Amino acid sequence: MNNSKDSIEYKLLSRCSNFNNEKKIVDALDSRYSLTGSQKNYLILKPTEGDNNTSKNKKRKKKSLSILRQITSNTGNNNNNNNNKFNGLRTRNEFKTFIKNNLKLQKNLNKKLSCTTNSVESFQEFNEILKFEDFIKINELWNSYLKNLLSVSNNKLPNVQAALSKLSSADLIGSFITVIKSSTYNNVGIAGIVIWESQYNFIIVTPRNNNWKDDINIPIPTLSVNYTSKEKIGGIRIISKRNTIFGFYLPINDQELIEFSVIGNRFLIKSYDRANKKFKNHNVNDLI
Amino acid sequence: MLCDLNVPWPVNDYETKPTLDQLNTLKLIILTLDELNYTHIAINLTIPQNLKLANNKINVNPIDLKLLNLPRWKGSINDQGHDHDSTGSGSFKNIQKIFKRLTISIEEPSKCSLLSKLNNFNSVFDVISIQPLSEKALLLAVTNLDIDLISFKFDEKLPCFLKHKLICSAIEKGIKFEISYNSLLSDNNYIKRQFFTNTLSLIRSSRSRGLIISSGAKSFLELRSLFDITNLIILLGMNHNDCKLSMTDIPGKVILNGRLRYKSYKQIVTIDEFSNILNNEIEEENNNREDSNLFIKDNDKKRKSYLNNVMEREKKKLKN
Repeated sequence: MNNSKDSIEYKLLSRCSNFNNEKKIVDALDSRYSLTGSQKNYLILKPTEGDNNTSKNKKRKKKSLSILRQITSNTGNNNNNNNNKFNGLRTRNEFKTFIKNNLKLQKNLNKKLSCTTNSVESFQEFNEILKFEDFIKINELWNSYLKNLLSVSNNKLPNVQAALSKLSSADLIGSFITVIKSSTYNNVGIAGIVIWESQYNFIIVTPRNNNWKDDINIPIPTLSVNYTSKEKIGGIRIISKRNTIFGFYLPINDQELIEFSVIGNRFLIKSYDRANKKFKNHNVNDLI
Repeated sequence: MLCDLNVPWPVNDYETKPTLDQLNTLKLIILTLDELNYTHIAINLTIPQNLKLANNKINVNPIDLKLLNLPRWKGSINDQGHDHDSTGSGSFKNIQKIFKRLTISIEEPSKCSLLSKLNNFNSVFDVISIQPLSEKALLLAVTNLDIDLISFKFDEKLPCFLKHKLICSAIEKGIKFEISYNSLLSDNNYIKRQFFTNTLSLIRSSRSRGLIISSGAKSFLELRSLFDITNLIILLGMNHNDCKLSMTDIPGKVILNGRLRYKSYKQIVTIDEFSNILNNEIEEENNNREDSNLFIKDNDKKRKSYLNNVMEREKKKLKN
């Protein structure tokens, strides 16, 4: 405690109109840290409104941390992270970046392929891209799931209306789907296994070289059909549900199959909301 | 695609069966429609509100096309098998599909027990329509019922003044309105006058949107071709283009709406390929729509379907 006349506090108070007396100043300075006086011996800190600034700083710090450290750090902090919409560690966001990267790789591959005559397999990016063959198992799983759901067996077939109402709340991830009709004509004929369904889009994995062009039989060998480089690559496609009609089928045994189609315009609902939603008939103007 | 959705079935209830004469006139009507380049036809059964339903679901629909001994439809499955001859007497020139339509005329909705059983008709009739005879019935049909069409009696006074708000709210929902021109061709001057006032008010209140024009002909002389009708309706103040649409596109939507009610669950997931929805041949052959064997038919054709081909090819690749 410094009560000399040179101290900053003394000089400041001497300018103040309340402290016109020298004694008053000394008294005030003496009693400022006392326990009994009018002053309190602690500081009250209230949160200011500039919350955003501080959280941004925190974000910057946390980005610099490695993933291992984040996992090992307090669980309480982790909870906060999960609530953050833009956190890269959220599975949703991780999935988003994964698909973005994959699309980017496909784009690069597409560029490279269009310049050369080399096969797709010779490029490095090919190994990192999603391939149709890996998802066939999922499709088989889905088939058995749908058979269970509709209670289909070799001899017995379900009632049409009951089956359709069950299908409307069924999960389509894993189904093999084609675009039958679409306002974006480039999408028509694309077929693949669904890996994700969002509110407005299906994300599907398409096979390589498999398009309608395979079904064309031209007797003259020199006129063979050429695939575009995009078709040669296959991989992920994002197809919007709006103004499109999708077809999918359920094989019952080796010879028989049931075909269904989904009207995309009426399907613009998140898949988890679809289970409980009550649907209504609408105007059919947008279906023709 | 040129449609006539109102070819009346001669009998109005379940007990009496149509006589041979009546069937012959119906056959003549259908054949003349074929001659006039119509492609899609609906045969209309009109029943009063207090009719009791038949117990058996198959008997709910008395319309039996086999009685008529009609020629084969154009481009039908059977056609490809033997005597494929589009010009001969074996098949129609133009008609591709014949649908079945039900019209319930309602005066007092609370007395009508059929309305609660509308779902039973879904699987039997392709198009379901209502003929309101009072304002109450019209309001109910627009707001609550799941139907495709509303038709008025054109030879009588309309049940109420048609308000634009009510009519257009129905059209926005997907329910269309019908103008049948047969009452114009009658001898009675009063009926003719009624037709003009009624259609004028219908066109005014709907702003010439969502209307379909059909014949409702009781004899083949009352049928007219597309251009005759357009001339007539232009007289009533409708646009040339709108008039053509109301004979082609809008009836198509009515049929699609009706078919989707049976073939899909709330227009979300449909059975069969989407392009096949208007196709009712298999059901006609089986004459039993409730049965689930509708699910799979001519497997060989489906087996070659594109979807399966791709999948099989991929699986083979994997094995190699």
